[in-house]
Amino acid sequence: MSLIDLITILLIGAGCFFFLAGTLGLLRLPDVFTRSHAITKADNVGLMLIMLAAALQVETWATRFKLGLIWILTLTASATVAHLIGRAALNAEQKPWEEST
Amino acid sequence: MHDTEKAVSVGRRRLTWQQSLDVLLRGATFAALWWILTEGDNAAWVLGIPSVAAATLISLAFVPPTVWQVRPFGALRFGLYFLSKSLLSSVDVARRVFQPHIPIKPRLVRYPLRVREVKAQVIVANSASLMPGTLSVNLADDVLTIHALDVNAPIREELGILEERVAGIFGIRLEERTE
Repeated sequence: MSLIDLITILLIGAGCFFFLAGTLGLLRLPDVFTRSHAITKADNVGLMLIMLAAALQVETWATRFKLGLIWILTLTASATVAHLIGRAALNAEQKPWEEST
Repeated sequence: MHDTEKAVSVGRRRLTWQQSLDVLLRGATFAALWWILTEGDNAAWVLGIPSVAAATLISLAFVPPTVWQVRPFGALRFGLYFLSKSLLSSVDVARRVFQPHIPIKPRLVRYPLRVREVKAQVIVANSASLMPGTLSVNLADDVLTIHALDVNAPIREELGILEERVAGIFGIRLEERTE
């Protein structure tokens, strides 16, 4: 196993860890706003790490740029979608969850 | 709003050299996208050249030629700031959700923006959602509404720095807060 392969495995492992964190947040957090936080932020970084890992394994620079493009488009879309869902929830007068003390 | 942008919005036919530069830049961007999508296949340019030309014309129909005032150094500075903060935001999420009792104290925060250009405001709003503890949920009348994951975190200070970095991309000034 070459050094490149080792780095690839580490990056994919770290990427999966963040996807797991995002999913756990989606399941465990109390309302639409807090869930949006977790899934948007964690998946952005999870995808970035997996794209970096893939970039180490592909043959050409054109493909590497393509992976980068996928990441940029996905993060733009997910941030925009998170905003739209949040705004829709606000307009529907969903009260953000607050810890009862 | 800059004077040059006003001239464009009233629909002047003749292009200034800066607007011509914008058209060239769009063409170059679409050509680069084509190269990326076809993964550098030279034979694909038979379809690529007409597609790039069509994409450029369509984009001009939707967004008239404008003057981009992107500062390379400012854009780089924003990029590095955004990258480091978004990495931290995921670590922050992971740190919270793996605890038995998730430590959060969410509140809505109204943040009056000091940047007035819409494109800069949109970048601030979208970036904020990928940074630690902030999620943009509304943007209207120069006020950004943020859902903060932890109200005790320095939300306003962080947003202030983000605004300065975004303003740095375009070299625009921050206005005084009106409220």
